[in-house]
Amino acid sequence: MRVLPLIEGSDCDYSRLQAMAWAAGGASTLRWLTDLVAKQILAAVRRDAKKPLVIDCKGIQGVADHAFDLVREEIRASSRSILFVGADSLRIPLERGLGRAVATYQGELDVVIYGSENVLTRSEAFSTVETAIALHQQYLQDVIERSYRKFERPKRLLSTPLIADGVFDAQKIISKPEMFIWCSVALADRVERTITDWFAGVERSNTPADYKWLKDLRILAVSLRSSPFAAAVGLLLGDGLERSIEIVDHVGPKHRILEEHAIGTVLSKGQYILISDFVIGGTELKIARAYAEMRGGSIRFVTALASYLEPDAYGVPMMPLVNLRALPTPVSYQF
Amino acid sequence: MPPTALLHVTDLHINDPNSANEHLRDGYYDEYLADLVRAVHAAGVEDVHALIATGDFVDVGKVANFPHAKNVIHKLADLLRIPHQQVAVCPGNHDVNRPDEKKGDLEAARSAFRSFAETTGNSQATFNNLRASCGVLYDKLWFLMLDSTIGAEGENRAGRFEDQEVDEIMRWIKGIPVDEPLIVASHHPVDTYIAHSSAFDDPTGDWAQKHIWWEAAKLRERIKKERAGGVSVWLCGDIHRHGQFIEGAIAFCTAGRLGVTTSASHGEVRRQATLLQIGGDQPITGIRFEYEVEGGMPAAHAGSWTHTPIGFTRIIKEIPVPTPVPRPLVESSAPPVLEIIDPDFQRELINAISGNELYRFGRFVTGGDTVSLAWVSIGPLLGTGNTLEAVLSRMARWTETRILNDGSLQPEHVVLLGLDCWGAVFASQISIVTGTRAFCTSLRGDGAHSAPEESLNPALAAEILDAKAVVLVTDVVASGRSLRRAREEIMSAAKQPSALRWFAISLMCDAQQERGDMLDFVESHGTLCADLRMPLMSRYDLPEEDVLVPTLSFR
Repeated sequence: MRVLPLIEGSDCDYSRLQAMAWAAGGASTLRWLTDLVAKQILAAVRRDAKKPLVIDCKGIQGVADHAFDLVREEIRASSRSILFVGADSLRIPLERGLGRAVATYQGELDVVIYGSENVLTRSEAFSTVETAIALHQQYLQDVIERSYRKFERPKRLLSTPLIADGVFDAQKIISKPEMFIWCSVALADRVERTITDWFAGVERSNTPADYKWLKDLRILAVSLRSSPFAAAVGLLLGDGLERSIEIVDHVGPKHRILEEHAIGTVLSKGQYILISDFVIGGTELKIARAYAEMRGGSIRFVTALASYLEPDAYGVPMMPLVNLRALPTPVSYQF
Repeated sequence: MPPTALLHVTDLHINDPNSANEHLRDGYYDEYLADLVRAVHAAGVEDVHALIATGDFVDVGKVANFPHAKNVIHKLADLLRIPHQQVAVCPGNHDVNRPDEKKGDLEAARSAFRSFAETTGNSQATFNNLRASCGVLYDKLWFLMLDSTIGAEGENRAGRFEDQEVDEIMRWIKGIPVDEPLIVASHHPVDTYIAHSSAFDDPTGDWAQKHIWWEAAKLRERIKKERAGGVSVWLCGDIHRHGQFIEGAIAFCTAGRLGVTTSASHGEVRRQATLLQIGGDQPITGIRFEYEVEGGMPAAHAGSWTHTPIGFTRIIKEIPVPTPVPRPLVESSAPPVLEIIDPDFQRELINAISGNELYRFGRFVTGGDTVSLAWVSIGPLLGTGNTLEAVLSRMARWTETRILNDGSLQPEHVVLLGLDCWGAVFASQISIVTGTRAFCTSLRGDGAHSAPEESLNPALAAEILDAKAVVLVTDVVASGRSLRRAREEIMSAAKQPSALRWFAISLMCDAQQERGDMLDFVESHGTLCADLRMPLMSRYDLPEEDVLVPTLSFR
């Protein structure tokens, strides 16, 4: 086992089944809890004897036969509380694999608990889940903050007319598998939440035909360091999006399209979800919009590792992982 | 010897014969097998002369199921009118009693299987030891059944294979006339070409250690030399996938499983059997039978067998020096070793390119003095079916097998460098499975359109130079110039001589393209498509650009 996606905190630890599946088996097994994922769970369980372990089940559709055969006894005998969150559709398969749960609580998201016989109460369980979610968000913030490289003196960035003290480099995140996994998973969450809201809008709408663009959804990346995240989001979400990944090289930072899009072999009227690394002034976003609109489509939503301005300042619905102005270490951009 | 037909089945995985959850259960297996035999006859095969089954008869060491497994095998033989002495079996990892194995008692661990084998098949063995059985199966058709599980010390992997054991088996083989066919069978595959297709069932980082019988390579190679000019077939199972190819003097063939519970995670993967015909107009041909379930769910009673003829791909490990073309771009020397990662998948890629009209002919100027006359749209290609996932899993597997299983390279010693956008995507995904670090750089258009942070800057070069090996990851290798440039830029940043080892992975690389010594620094290069011609020309051999305008130019 090479990578164990686990965020360790002082009060609890957090992991995600889909992240484990990705690390254990790659992009082709992202929706199954296999025996390899079960081994990852055991490895996470073994890391600490006391703190609760929260495991987010989002994105997993099923549990493989015999997945827990070799780890069942040790997981059941663990002295820590293992909370499977969002396990609504997995409760029965988990029971088949791990036996009867110590406790099950239903709420906005179901929580199924194994391990310690010192059963958490309902309020303790949901409080632990909230702590774990906050831990995840803090991890993302730390990762993004650490990707910053300060210049010796302020200089003008290539991608935007702004002068900056330093630059955020997504390469630092891509080069560490664990960081890349967690950031990609978080970006995928934002996209999924938005798509869910769109489909909810269809159901509420009196004119569902207004939403027919939903069938043309495509994931878009327009720079080198956004490309890995865009592909990861498409693969994680699946449901056809893994086949709808459009990478346009090279809309930015220097503007010249280096791809067959320039010769018109790729025809799409995509409704794009743009995945970006860092959105500062929004120059690259504006050019991506022009690209999409000239091809008969539009940018419907943007998510990025981080943005500098407030999301609604960019003229397109945006949901970054982190707002750079909220970081403890001040960053400044100016004309 | 007249044409001989044999049926290969494997991986019955009988778990609970009394449950409703298996096609091979007590109350249904005869109907299931009768359907298979009907399909064999419908494929035009009336006479089958031998039956070979390559292990995992029972599931997870449930040796109490061996009597039922014997009933299944004998039922199949009876339906095909194959005498029981023309049946041969070998054990799989699930057939071994693991606790006894871990204690080191190899005989006890296999006693249940051996009782099963002695009463089910292998009765014509002339040579026999704990590792193998060898004899004439039918007419002049020989069999050599091998136990690939011995030496695994109770672990879930193929076992060691000592040189003295190989020597003894070779003594047997030398007694077999070369003009009489030999069927070798082991549960675990002995080569990675077929096993690279096993993405779904065990897409793990260490799948190669678990599923490939590396140690049998020494027997494989000796058989190739000893029996050059004869017909030798090596059958295996374990990976629950089909595949067939010829390398040297051996035809390798694996079949998917015949059994397993219908609600298994890969329950939608079709059950299979393979019929091989030896002799006749061609040395070996085959028919694959697949059980197609009806409806959406793999119910343990509904379905039917289909059949498809199969062909054997001949694997070429080293590309021979091509015939010189007029005015070659550069003086050519011996090309590096280029390896097709998965020949079956290559065919699928080429079909996807052709079927979706993704191949264009024109003048494509990507950099330097070389012009590509062909272009394949990579984005749309990767957007067909599950091509992207299939590409990524094969690339990761190749990295594990060829680079990390080397023994001298740990993940922390290896760096992946993705060239341009798709190279960055591939590298980032490979890094997750392999635990290696991945970086990306922009080289298109000679970097004229890249920001300093995107190019191979000194900081990035320094990180790479700290490693022991670099894997250059890219979508298409045309002239090889980008790879060479990447290396030169990294090495130019080295403050002292560097012993970096270089590897490459690509989606496509035309194997017949002359590249001179562009890639002479690459130790091993795995590609998923080498047979699609993507010709290059020197721009000096073409009209000026205002006469023949580039279809695409990155300059």
